[in-house]
Amino acid sequence: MIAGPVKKRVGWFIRYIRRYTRRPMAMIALIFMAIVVLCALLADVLASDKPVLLHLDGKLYILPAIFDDKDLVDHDNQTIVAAISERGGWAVLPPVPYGPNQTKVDGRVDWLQAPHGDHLLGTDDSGRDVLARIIHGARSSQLVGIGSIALSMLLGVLIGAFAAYFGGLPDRTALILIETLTAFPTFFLILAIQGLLGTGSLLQLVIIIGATRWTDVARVTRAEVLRVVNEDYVDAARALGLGHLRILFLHVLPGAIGPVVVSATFGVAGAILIESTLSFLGYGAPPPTASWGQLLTDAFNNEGCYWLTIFPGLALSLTVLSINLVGEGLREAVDPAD
Amino acid sequence: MPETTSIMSIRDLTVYFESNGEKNYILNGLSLDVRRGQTLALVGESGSGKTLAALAILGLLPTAATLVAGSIAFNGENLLDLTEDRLQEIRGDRIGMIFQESGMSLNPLMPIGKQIGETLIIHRGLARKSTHEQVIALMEMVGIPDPRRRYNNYPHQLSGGARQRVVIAMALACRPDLLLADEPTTSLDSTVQAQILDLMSRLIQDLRMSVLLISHDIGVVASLADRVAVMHAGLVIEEGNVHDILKSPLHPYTRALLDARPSLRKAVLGDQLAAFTSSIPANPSAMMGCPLADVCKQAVDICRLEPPPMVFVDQDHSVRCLLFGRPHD
Repeated sequence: MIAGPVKKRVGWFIRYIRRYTRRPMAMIALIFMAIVVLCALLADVLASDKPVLLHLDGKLYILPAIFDDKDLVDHDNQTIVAAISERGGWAVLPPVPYGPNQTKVDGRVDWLQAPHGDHLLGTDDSGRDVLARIIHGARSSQLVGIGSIALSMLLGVLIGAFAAYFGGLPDRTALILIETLTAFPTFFLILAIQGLLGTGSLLQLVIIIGATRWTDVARVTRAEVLRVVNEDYVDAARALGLGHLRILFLHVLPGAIGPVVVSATFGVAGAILIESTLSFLGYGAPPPTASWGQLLTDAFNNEGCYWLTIFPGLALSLTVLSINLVGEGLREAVDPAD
Repeated sequence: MPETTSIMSIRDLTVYFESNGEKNYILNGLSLDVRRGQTLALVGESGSGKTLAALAILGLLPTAATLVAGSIAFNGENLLDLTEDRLQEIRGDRIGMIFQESGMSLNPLMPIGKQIGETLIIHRGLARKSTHEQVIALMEMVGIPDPRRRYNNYPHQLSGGARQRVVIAMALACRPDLLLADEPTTSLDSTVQAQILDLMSRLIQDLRMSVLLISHDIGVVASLADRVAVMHAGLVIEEGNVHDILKSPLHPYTRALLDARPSLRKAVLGDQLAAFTSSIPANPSAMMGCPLADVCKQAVDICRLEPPPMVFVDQDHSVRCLLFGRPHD
């Protein structure tokens, strides 16, 4: 026989997924992460001061909170419900019928309420619903976590790959850059830049964290590319007349990217912690953006209100734990020794 | 030797490696011709510079190697003068290469069909989709059974022999004028080796290819080559028709090389293998005489004094040995 026994046609990607799904802890963590990401994506549907769907006075409103309907600017779920009972119509309310920055309910401020039927996780010292703020806080965390790591992946993979593939001067330049940046304690560097630029938008935070934390990605990428570049098939590709860029991106990076993605996953957790810490210190996202770090600051300012500490704290630590478990699961799934 | 019949002529190729400030000459003025439509086997022991010669042809010398002199004429161009861009166009298109260790020269993360199509995409400017049928045809040509199903297989799903067929298909995808085959069967077990040799000799005939075959396996050489060039210390020391070289080798080194082949007869009779204890000098060009003078049993005084010239013993057989260059008894 010329051809060996036909194994089932399964690509490396499917094999990795199968190996990942065999680990229960990693799967639980992945499901939790999926929920957090869904919360972040659907925050405006899950927790809002406007209904999801509203039919009032013969007009249909779809997601008025997102489309910023002018008719409803002065309304919230509670006044709308009152209006419906007077004038007729119907509404689909969000599961958490409070906006993240809604302080008044029916014109009343219910501040620092312990968890009860109306506010499942209580309210803060401005009367804002803690659950609504946690759901919207997930958005800040995920945006900063995923956004900044996406940026540092882009920078790190490109710099690390070019350094390792071309060697020589590009490699030495990249190494000097990496070592210089690593010499600073990253957190204080970020804190200093935030202090210098002033608390801008979340996007500013994404860029600063991404631009300072690509060194780990670059280091891992460089090591992996160095390993793959010495494989014979890279020389063979040169002999077939393939150009450097094609070889690097089509033949070298796919074999090198696995461990990079794994280490980047841990980076997401790190970036979320940095965002929370900065927000806690008042150098994070500008208020009134809901952020888990800021919720913890509120807890700090209101001693004795356990719900302000426990729930945002749980959200933060469970998310970070989950990301690390996902990373761990990925690492084991792509581990060639297994 | 009439130049017009050569598809590639290497002249005086000299390459050294530098390590710790010392220059190690691997190629010492290598000259050889691959005739159009013929297969030239380049044989020699490990370290004699065979593979380096192939890499020099493709312009893929390792960074530690320095090319000092020489020319490689191919299709009217001197490959050593070309820009990297032009070389890239020639590699894989006009000159194909089959590497040692076929399993290693395939990307483990890319389906084989896609890999075979790569050369067609870059050299023929085809889109991935339109390469599909050509790739299937190539896979059929090299005898991969059920190519449509195999198209999406990864290299690890194939046997060593099938992988080598894939490598051959990749090298031949653009119908190159010249094929460099570096130990094409060494990593295979002997039954598969025979199948691959069959395939190669059929393809070489069908496609009327010119081939530079690099091998230390006399069996492979005998079944594929038209001509043989024996290399030692970066020089061709004997060249001729495969029949002449294998039946009546002239150079003492060639004879030793042929005798060093283990055979069943020798093993049964308990004969010693005729190992030629040759050390390859670091800088043979700096030596006065023949690099083999110290180990050659037939060496005479003059061998240590002047470098042997290439001598034509007949129109088609040349040897680099003083024993044939001047009258002796």
